[in-house]
Amino acid sequence: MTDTPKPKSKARGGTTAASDAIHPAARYFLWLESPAVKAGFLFAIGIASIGLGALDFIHHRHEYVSWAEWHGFYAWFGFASFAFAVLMGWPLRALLGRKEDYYEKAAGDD
Amino acid sequence: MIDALPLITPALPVILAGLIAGLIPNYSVRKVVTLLGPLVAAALWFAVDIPGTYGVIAAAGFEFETFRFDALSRIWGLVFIIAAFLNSIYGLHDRDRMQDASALVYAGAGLGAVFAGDLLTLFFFWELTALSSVFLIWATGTPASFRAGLRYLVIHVLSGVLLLGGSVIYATSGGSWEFGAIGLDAPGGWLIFLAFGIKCAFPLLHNWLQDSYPKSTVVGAVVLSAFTTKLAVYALARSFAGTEILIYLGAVMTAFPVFFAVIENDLRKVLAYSLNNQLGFMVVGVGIGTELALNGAAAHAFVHIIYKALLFMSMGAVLYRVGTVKASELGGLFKSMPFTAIFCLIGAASISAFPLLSGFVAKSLTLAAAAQEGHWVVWLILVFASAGVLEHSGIKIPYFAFFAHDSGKRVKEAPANMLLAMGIAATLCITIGIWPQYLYAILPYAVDYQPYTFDHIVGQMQLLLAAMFAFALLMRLGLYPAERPSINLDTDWLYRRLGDGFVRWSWAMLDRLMAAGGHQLTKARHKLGERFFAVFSPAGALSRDIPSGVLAIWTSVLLGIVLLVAYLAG
Repeated sequence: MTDTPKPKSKARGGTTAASDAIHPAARYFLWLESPAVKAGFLFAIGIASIGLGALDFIHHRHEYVSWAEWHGFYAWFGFASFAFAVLMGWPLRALLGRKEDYYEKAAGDD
Repeated sequence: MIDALPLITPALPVILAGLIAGLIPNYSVRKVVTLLGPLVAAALWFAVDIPGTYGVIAAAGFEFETFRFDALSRIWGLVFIIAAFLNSIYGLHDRDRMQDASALVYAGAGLGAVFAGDLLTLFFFWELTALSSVFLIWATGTPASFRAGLRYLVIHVLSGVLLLGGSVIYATSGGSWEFGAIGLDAPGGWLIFLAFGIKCAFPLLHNWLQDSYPKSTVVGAVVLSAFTTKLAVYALARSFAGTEILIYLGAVMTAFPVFFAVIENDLRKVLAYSLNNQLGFMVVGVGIGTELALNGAAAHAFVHIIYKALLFMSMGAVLYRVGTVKASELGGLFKSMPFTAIFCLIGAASISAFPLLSGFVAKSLTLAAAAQEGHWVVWLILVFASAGVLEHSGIKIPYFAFFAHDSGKRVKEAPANMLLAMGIAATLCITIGIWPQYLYAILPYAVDYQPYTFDHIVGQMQLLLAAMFAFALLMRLGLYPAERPSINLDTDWLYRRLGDGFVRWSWAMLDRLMAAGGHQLTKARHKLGERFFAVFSPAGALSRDIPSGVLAIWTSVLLGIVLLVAYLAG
């Protein structure tokens, strides 16, 4: 008997008796789902990013690569890299995305 | 007491524990054995005071070096033992005897390969890792896992064959059987390099990883994530340190999985792509080959095995409880599995290299080495890949499993043994992050590096927070590709669809050729039969009345020829 759920079988442990049961330890963190918190997170992290980038104006970072010493280099490069990787997902999915049974049709796989 | 232990390879107790576990039907006794194996291996590791080669076995005129304990094998051996122990704890709930056995034999084979001092011993354990680990994929018991296991086995056995071929050429062309620095210019060097490259999941050779790991069992994926690929990095560090092509291969390895991971729906497959990305950092370090860079590769391998195992464990717990790890079907699980969520977040933050966690003190060694050696394009790719790591492993994994929209699934928290294994792994991530000197003390070379400088902390936090801001902003704007049920083509398409189609077409053509050939053969046989019939049948040519005079003349001619030949010969 192995521990991995077989296809179309129930997971081990399954759902709890009361389908809406929430773990006692999780009750203290339900505020994470509040729309205000989510919106606040966006602003807080934006301000923190700008603040950290602005630190470079009052403290000169020393780097092995000279242009990494540009003000806020890691901040804008991090933002641009992340956005580029995510936005490339659209054309990549259009190009490479297939239905889940793509291989199944050919060889009974997946 | 430890000093009194014999100097034998730590692989031995782990493999023996695996073989014994396979024979013990009693669940409790078997589980004790699975825990004891790695513990005895740890004792053997600590028993060595002086680096050297031990456990030499002379057989068939050859000396097999089974326990070479030096600066490089020491750190890899230790983290393999830690991983084997964590895996045993994580698998305590599992009653699959075969899986217990194969997990330990596989871990032991990895240890055996790391401590191998010669190429034949390496080959033996190299193949054993493949043969033992495939059962972790097959244990799922689905047709898909069976096929994936077969593909996995073929690819890894091929790697072993290349290793053996390269080793024989290398050793018989003036080299030696020593598993040491080889280089690409050595006879057989390219074959050995390719063998290591397959196991290391080099670009275009990488897809066995995404094909097989997500199809293995809950415990199997955790076990698999630790050994094979890191063994390959170790082998590269041992034999091809400073090989320039590795720098560029590694850079590609860090970058391309980032894009695939964004659109992948299966979160264990996302982790498999993340594995590629992390291996890339190590391969770059090996390629640069300086002391700092090799320290970076070793440190990265050490911390990576732990936090990657932690991430696979957390997704394994989700799979165990929910029955799926498809992002499109998950969300809001922190309400049901809060401890698993916290451990996952620690693993995610570690791999993203947040300060005070293990990734921060390890990854920066490689980045510093790349910059110091003037590989600024590669350095830039590594910085890009660092933001990419945050995307797929730092955010995507915990966010879509435990937060995002509430899927409404309410399940039990992970079993206690899983939580314990995750807790130990998370503690190690934090401990190494806060006190990196203990990690640095076991690196191959002396470390003159201070990770906690103001510049490093500020630079890293700039990168991470800005990337997180990008995520939050793209989500708010609806520009983040939604998770949806789908698969994505990768290089496995070449053999699973194109190659498979070609083979099927070839078989069909061969069938038709055989049918056409058979038809022609039948026709020819029929014609020949008709001819024979025409000659020999009662109504055939030979049965017609021939004048006896003509036959007498022909008989005389033949007799004359025979006499002439006999006369000339005499």
